Amino acid sequence: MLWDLALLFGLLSGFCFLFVLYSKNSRTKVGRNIARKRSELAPVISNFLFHSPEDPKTEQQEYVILKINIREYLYKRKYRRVLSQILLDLQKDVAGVTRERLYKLYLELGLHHDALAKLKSWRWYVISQGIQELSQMKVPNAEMLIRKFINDKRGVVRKQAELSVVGSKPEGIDYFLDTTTCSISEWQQLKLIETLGNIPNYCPPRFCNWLLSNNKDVVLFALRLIKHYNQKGAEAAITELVKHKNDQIKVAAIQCIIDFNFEAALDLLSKIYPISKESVKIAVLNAFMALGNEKNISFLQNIATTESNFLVRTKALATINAIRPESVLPSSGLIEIANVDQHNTEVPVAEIQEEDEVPQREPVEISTENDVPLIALDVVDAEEVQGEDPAVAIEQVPAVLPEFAIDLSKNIVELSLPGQLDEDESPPDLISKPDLEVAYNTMSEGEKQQLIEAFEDNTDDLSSKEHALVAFVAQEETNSELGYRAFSILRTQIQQEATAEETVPMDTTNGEELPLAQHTIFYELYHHASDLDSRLILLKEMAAIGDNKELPFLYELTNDPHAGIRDAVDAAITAIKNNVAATLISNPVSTADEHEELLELQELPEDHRLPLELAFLYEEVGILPASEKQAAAIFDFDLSEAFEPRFDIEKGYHG
Amino acid sequence: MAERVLLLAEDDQMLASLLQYRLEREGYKVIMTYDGRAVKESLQSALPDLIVCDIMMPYLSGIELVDFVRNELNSDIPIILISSASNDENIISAFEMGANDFVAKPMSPSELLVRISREIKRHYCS
Repeated sequence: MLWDLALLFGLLSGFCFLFVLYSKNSRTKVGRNIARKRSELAPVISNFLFHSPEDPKTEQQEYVILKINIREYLYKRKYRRVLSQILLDLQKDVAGVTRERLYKLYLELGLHHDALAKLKSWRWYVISQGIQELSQMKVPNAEMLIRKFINDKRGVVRKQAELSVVGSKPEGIDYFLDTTTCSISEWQQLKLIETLGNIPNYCPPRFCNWLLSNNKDVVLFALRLIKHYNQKGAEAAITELVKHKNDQIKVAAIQCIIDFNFEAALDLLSKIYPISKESVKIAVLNAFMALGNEKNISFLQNIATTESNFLVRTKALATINAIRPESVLPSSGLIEIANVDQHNTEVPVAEIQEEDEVPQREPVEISTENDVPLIALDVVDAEEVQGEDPAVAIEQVPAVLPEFAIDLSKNIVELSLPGQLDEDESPPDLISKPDLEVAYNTMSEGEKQQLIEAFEDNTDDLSSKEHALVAFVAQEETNSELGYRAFSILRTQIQQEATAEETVPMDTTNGEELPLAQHTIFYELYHHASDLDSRLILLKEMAAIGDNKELPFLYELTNDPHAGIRDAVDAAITAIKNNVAATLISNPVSTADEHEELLELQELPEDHRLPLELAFLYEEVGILPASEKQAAAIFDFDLSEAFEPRFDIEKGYHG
Repeated sequence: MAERVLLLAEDDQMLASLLQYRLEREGYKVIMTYDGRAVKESLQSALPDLIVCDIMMPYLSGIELVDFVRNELNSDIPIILISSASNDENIISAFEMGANDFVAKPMSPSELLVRISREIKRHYCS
């Protein structure tokens, strides 16, 4: 059996090998035959190409004999194919008169009939070959037959026909643009332009006529041709195209406007800008960059401030800079010059340069990436401030916007203290707290309000001096509104500090442990609560969520003069104790001490205590728990479902 | 005037045949070669009066052939290069190597004839 199979497969492989060998040989044979035919036909073709009626008589005779011979060749289809191929190859390498003779020979030999027959084939590649052959050999009137393939659904045939029609004669492009309903790829457009370039003495038509086409690709191609042939006379038509529904056409038209410097189109571009998409907006900004002037700055600034798209906004800024160089300066990733230590010799060079440039800067009114309005900061020179009365320095702050008032006051303080002195140390007497108070008193009412507003906006960022100033205002300000606002700032700051302390580890208190009463979060809140209602609410909250930590504080409050508070405190203590007991029971105690504590909290009589050993024994024996009512009667709270194994202490204890 | 011998090195047999026919009609004796190795062998046996050579050839490019003739054979016979690859680098390096002229494809055989006769006159009749 195995031998039979081996024999079978051996035979099959042998057949396969023979088949491959045969097909390879036959192909080689065909190739060899073609090469032989080519070598046979080469001198014949050369003779035909270079024959002249003025040649000697012997050569004339030879020419006649060759003509007869070649007629015989032409009866056979394979020879015709070889002849066509030879002529097609040769026409690529020769030029001038020889090429013209070659075309003539092709027609004389009637080879074009084969090419025309190929157009009737149903196979796309045969049709394509036929079109290519007819167009390469310049067969007259073939264009009429090729035209019908311009809108062929087969892409290769269509493209070949387009190239053929356009390249055949100068009017070919007109016919093509008029009749094509299909898309024209970028690559095809370039090929067509190249084909037009090969037409000798080509005079292009006015391509703006096709800007009205319904085929968007024709419009795009026409725009490309207008640019290629530099046809500037189509300004109105091109400008109108920026209103086109198609964004691709809009962008191409804008590019044309840029290339031809149609400055008058800028008005229309600014009108279409708001209703355009990103790509068109960028193209519009490109146009403004190339053609814009100072008059367009406000339009561009408006875009830079209102546009939400980052790319467009950045382009608008770049456009502004292109029209008015250096008007928009970098705004992100820069070092704050105000914080640079003037006496530090290791200040990076870049920072020093920045400082040097600061006085020359113009105010920048453009938004940054994050839409934060950038307003020029007139950076106060430390040396200038040092030599001046701080009060005067504050007065010199020009029309400070509220959000920057705090920065200015900071700058004055910080720049006055070279070497970043610790605020706890006594600083040189450049600006002291009384001086700030004096400066504050010299401020007008409006400036005071701005300063307080600035402090309100930066409550969490106040320095000690600013804090002192706010305290001063809260105490001494005659204007009750300002005084109240200063007081509110202080209160907010204290509350924020209290909140921050919750997250601060204990070691930040310099090792000093707080009194037990202050271990609760409610301690600070309670003392900051200004009215009775707030305190009662806090006590209720303590009752609801409090634990052992709240008890010392609550015990302190039991002596509160207000009866309502005392009642609430008692209720809170009871509730917390119950909660703690419930927690301990639901999470069984692990140590005897904790068990003791539990019993103490429950204030149970000694004889109600269950010995641990007995409890474990009950657990092992598996005595079922008593009803929850009984348990509640003992503990005065609900036993949770999770309390397992359950056991009846009282029942078990009394047997 | 003695019959001038031209060495025509072109790998496209049809074009070579066409040029050979045209050159022979003009009275030149043409030695045909279709690749670089054949050109080398032919040159080592006898030097022609002028070489017409395609740049893109099997085994040996036209530029290498110019280098071979100028530096190994130490000959100053006129060399005309033909190529469809008419990029600047090829042309410049060919001239740097010592080529006398360059014709780009598609070429007119008549133009090639004029260039050949000019080079021959320049080299042998001056």
